[in-house]
Amino acid sequence: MSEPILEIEGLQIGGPEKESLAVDGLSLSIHAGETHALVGESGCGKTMTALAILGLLPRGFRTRGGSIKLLGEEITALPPARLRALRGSVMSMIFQEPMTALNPVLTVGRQISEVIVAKKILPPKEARERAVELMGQVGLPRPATLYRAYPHEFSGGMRQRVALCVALAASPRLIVADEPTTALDATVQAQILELLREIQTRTGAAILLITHNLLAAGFLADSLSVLYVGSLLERGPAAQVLAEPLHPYTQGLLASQPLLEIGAGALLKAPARLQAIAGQVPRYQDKPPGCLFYDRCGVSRAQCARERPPLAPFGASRYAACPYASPTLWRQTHA
Amino acid sequence: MRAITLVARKLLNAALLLLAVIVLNFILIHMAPGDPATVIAGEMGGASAETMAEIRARYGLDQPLATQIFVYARRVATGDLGRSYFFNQPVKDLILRRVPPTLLLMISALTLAALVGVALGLVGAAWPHGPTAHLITFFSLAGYAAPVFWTGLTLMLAFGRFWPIFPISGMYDVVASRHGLSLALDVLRHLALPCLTLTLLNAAQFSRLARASLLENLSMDYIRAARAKGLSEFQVLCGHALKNALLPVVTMAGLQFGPLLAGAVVVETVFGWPGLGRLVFDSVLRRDYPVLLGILFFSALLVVAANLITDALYHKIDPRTRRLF
Repeated sequence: MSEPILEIEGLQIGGPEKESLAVDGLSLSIHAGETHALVGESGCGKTMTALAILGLLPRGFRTRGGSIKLLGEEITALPPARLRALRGSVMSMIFQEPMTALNPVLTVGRQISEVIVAKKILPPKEARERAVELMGQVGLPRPATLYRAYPHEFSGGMRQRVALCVALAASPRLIVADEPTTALDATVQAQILELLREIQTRTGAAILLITHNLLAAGFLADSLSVLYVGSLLERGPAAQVLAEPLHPYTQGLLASQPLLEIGAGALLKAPARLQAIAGQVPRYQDKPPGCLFYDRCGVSRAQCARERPPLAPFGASRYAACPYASPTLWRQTHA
Repeated sequence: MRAITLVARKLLNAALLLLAVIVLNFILIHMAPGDPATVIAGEMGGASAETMAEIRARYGLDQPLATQIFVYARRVATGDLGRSYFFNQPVKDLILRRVPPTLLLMISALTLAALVGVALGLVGAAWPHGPTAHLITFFSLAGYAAPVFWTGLTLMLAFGRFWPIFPISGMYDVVASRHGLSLALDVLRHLALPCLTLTLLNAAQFSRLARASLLENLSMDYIRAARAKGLSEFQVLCGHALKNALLPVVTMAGLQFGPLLAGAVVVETVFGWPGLGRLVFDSVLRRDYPVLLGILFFSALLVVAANLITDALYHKIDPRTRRLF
């Protein structure tokens, strides 16, 4: 197989408190034309991972270990200027809030074309034409007119289309999409996901999809990682993970979703009752010594509180960080 | 259409505001102790009771206050601000002669203060924890806290006595008569110290506001998005954050126009600058009420005009206040 676009090995991200890690031991790889979904509840380190890839970690946070390779190049220790050159051109990002991710006092067209100009792909005039073309491609009506419009004149869905244009402007090889549909209406969510898939087919870009929405992950992703308090609990092909989750946490996540339609078209029946996972995600500063999911888990034993189980292979292509991981229980309840 | 209604409403508001200013000033001055007739009589070297009555009748001072206000407001509406008791000249001419120096002083000080303030704010926001930022904050506070006259006198000492490179008084070189470029340079040299005094006072506020506004904007999502585009820090700061951060700065520039005029009165007195400020000072001492009223009216006019310009500028910078379709 060819070289992956993005390859993360044992990534550790630390905050201002020296001893605790916001992300600990994350590994994943994405090839061209593939989508990998990073799934988990809020505060589990998804966005931190995205920002670490782009080299935009907030003040106080930094990569403490592991490696991030973009097209084979180690980027965790790059000088800021080199990293800036990669941002926008080789990798780009779509943010969760289309309402605030666009500059309110600049025209949307300028916000798209400035990437093309800054990356010296085209001179300003041609960049403008290219931006209009992109706006047409993402389904914005009358792109030449809308080029001169300002973000406040757009709906949330239209803004996210603009954000897509910005991310696509310099034809990046990797698109990091951080909750790209969370802030949108359900119907618009579907359109944006559809659009992302279409773009991927056309450009062959690799997508890292960060979401807490398993429906979105199932629709778009080829493979899937479940992150909990900064650590991987499960990883595998998306369709398999969603059809037969191994880890109790993944099972809990699925059981708390109202309805799940999987890419292939298989529809899982909605359970008679939604089962919320009891308790709350601990803060990464207060990680328990044993299994991170111990106090919320239904199958935990005394040993789980003492030892943190490592991510272990399960069959040919799947991994789970639980000695009791098994699809049996899920099969029984969700046949 | 919507724009026209908006402008019409703004202008009507401005006119009503000016009328209120006229009435209020008239009442205030009427309430102040002292009788203008006595002042006029004094200028004439004393007068009998009949002459006093004649003076009162001639200037309409024997009429009821409401009538006086009405007559005055009607005259102002036609552009007549009355005659000065002291100079016996039309107030309008007196004022118009002194407006250019004052406007020159105020606009140059305001522009310089805004430019210097925003530049310092940019530096302070780009390196918010560096020693430069602390130095700027320190000098901003010092400049803001120092009284205008003290700053003026200090600059006078510094540049008039210890390092005499600028003239410390007046607007022209009284000895040589100059023309054209030489005259302009001469005025600029004279402008330096009064302008610097007013600038020091105001730049402090601009720099603090610009810095705070920039820092607030730099924590916004769209700045992170701009960084994710791979733009340089300069492009992020000046291309994305600055335009947003300018909105409160523009608002303050408009609001500062009034206090700046008040500051100009002091500065003009300190530096012998032949502007409106000096005329105010002298007219208060002379109880030259028509001149005072005229200047107050004119100041109000300037401030209202400045605010209208601010509104227009705000409109230009912030697209959210206008519509495309």
